[in-house]
Amino acid sequence: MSTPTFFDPSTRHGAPDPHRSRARHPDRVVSRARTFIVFGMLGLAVLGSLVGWTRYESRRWQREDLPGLHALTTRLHLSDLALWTEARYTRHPSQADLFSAFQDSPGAPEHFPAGSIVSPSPVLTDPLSVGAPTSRGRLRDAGSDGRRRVCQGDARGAIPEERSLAVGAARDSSFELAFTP
Amino acid sequence: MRRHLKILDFALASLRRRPFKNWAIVAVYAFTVAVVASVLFLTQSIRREAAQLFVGAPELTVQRMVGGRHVPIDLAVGETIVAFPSVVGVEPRFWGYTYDAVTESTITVMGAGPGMATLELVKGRLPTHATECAVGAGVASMWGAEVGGEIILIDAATTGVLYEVVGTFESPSDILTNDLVVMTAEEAALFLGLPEGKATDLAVRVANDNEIDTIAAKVKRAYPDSRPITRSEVLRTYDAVFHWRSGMMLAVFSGGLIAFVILAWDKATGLSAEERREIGILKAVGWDTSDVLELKMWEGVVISLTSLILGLIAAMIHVFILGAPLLTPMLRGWSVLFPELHPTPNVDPYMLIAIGFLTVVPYVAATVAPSWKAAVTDPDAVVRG
Repeated sequence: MSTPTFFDPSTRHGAPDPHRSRARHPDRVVSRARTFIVFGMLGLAVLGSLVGWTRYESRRWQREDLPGLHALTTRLHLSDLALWTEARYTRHPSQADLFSAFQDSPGAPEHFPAGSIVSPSPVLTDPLSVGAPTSRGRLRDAGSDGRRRVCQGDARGAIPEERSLAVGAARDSSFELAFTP
Repeated sequence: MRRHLKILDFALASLRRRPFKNWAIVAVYAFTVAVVASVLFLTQSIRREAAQLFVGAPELTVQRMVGGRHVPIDLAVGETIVAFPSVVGVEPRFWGYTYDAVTESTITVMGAGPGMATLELVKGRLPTHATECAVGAGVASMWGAEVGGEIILIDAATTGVLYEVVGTFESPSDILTNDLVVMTAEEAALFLGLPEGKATDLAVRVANDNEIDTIAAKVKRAYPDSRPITRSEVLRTYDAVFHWRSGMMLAVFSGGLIAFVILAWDKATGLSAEERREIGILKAVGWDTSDVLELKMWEGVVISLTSLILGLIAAMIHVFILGAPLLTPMLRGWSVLFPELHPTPNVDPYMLIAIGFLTVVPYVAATVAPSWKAAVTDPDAVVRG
């Protein structure tokens, strides 16, 4: 019977078989594995070097460029990145109108490519954003113009808790909810 | 240890028997990793850059809203706000846009109030007279303008106005200033057609960061038609825009992930007849099921680790050295004055580990699972098919 083509993994620490070819010598058998491990380590070393380089470059940017950029943002009061000049809500996403994505044609699908990238600002979607504190449970009596106001909306409208509070208060005090979110 | 090395060696020999197929898998796998990692590296880099840049932005920006639209605000509002405790200054901002038909680009016009005329990242100086301006790199290259040159812009009254370029913003600031034309505040107001006594919005400086929200609430209470935007909201906006879950970045990211899932699924759905026969022969010559599974695990590890390392290296070179040329067209959209991207290299080791975990583990599992089924079957039945 001829020698099997596959090596037997159960032969763990046996003495070298003199009848076996040079390629099957125990020290030679794992040569591919060692080569792979060496190349793997080399790849990891290159990867590690690149990560190290990114950290070095990041620190260099913070040390050399960032102070100048801070001076620029402070001096010119810059609030947005100059990336997309397609529309004002993509050029200044943080300063955009409340209806920014569809402001030019309500109900129309987004027609600027960058509009697909720019997701709505959390300012518009987070009920606990700025302006909210101003409307907490404030009840107003009828104004001089005769309109009866129950609560004052924040920058985006009323937040849900406030609206429910306002509705409850309106029922209790026979006020109408004059606020439209 | 030696036993594991032997099985690894056998796994490598087994992979070498099907070189074309395995190199093709490595190529596709590495490309998928490179795409996913490129998106993550680029978005993370821009997010971090924005977070650090806008530390110098106004603590509070106050706009006036009419009919849901941002409209010019009275300068008198600033006089009220500056009297609030903790407010150290209010400066009106005069900014807006102008379309330049010659270059077919939209330019952002900004007024620079009184202050230092020279800045580190400005070659030349900021304008001090109504006939002067400083321009960003995009505008400068579009007009071929340098310091000492001239540009003509169309103002709100559709009159062409000639400005002398006295400064250009240098390259590291492209991401902030690429499409900017900076004029004196008075000239910007005139150019943009802002009514007398009004500004685009107000930049409010607050001494104590903890009081920014309180000041915003006070402003809102005093001026119900105002919209205060805090600096933290600006930072959160950019965090959301460049989060991997947002918009097209998600599309690219999920496309890459789906490609990877298909690749892994293809592996998981079964073995080829040749692979099944190989497992049967191994079992027949005395290999344990655990040995066969370890062999398949090593095959998976060899392919996935090789692909992971190649993909990550390719992604870093693509994003941080080449400036993400494959992703820029998607980011650019219809922007004429899109800055050249030089993402600040920044890689979070946690992200590398996450990418590795998300790709290596499923692939190895998808390699081992079908082999286990073949390995526990009677070798004779496996070999005979």
